[in-house]
Amino acid sequence: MADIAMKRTAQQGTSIREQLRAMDDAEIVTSFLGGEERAFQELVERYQTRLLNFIYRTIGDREKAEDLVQEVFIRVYRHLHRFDRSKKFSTWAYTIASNLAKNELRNRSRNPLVLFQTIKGNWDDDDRPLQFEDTTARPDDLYRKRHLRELVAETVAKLPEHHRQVFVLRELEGKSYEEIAEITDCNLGTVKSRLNRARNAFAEIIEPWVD
Amino acid sequence: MIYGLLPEQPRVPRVRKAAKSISISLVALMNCREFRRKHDAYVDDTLSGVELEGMANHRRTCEQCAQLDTRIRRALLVAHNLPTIQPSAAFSERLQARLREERMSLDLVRQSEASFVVRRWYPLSASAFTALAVGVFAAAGLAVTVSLSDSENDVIRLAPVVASRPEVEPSVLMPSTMVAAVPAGMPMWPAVFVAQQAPWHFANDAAGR
Repeated sequence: MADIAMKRTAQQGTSIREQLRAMDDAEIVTSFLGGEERAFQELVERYQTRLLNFIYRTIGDREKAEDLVQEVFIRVYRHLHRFDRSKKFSTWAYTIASNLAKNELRNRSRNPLVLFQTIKGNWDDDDRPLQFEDTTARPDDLYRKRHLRELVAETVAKLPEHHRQVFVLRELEGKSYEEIAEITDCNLGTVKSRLNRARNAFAEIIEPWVD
Repeated sequence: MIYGLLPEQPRVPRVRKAAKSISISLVALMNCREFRRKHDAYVDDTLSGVELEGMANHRRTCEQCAQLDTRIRRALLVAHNLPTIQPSAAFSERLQARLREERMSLDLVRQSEASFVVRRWYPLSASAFTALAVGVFAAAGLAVTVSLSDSENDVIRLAPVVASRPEVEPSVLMPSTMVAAVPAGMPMWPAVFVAQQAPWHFANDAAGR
């Protein structure tokens, strides 16, 4: 189906890049499996920022988050032919990212030195690139944004791991309860109860800073 | 007045009144526990109209629940407005390099698989095929030679085997006489047994025979 759509649009004179951009995830996956290597680049462009933010907010280490996002894409590339195309691609990609983030947190809990280095890295201002910020904004806006980001990141980091993941997926990534259940491999009731606790805990921790 | 038509008219207002009273009771009966239980759905805006009204009404009347609602909504607002981070400049280059490596290794795997399949279909090289052909011809020649040669000289003759039945040795405990006496009954037993066990040297005649 994706091939037919591509041929049709190719006849109309649009570039392959534009055709890929117009497709949904399922069509892009089909196109890639049909031999169109550029389709994978489209998937990378669509998901790199989302996955980076998700992993970063889960583990709190930007550099490691980038490494893990790369690992997600490598795994997707390697196993895409085994992907069940009746499911959503985004859920699959997030599931891989979630598992990698969980492994990273587990490894850190076994190695306190890594945890200390990560925390130290987060505290060091020089290590923080400011690419996410709008350079045209006023300095006090930049400060407020950075302060907000740090505040939320620190508050999220204080949540227990299970609650944190559900909270990030729901509140920061905007996933549905059903998708979260699939990504975290939990039932719907567990997701709801974890989210309820996470929301309450988050609100309680951040309350003194936002009042 | 026809009585058959009368019930139709008052029924509609009665049902409406009942629905209204249910909604009023839901609004009135909402307690703090129920408010907290439904609060996630309230924040997600997935409650029905009646429930939404009940929550809003309870919020207006209960200061504690109103504070909880405000606190959570404000915290979530902060979280939702969190600026996103972007991948670094080197991210894309590194990923492309890793993908190239991955592609190469996958190609190698595919090639090795393909060559394995080819080997399975064409298992012999030219020299191996020649050697095998020579072997087959040699075996065929040997078979023909053997079949045409004089078979009389090749037969190995062994000494004839004569089968003989071994002689049955009489058992000390169960002599043949006793065995033969078994179907006949007990009377023979003691006699035979006594005869066997008898001290024959006392039974000699005077001449000592």
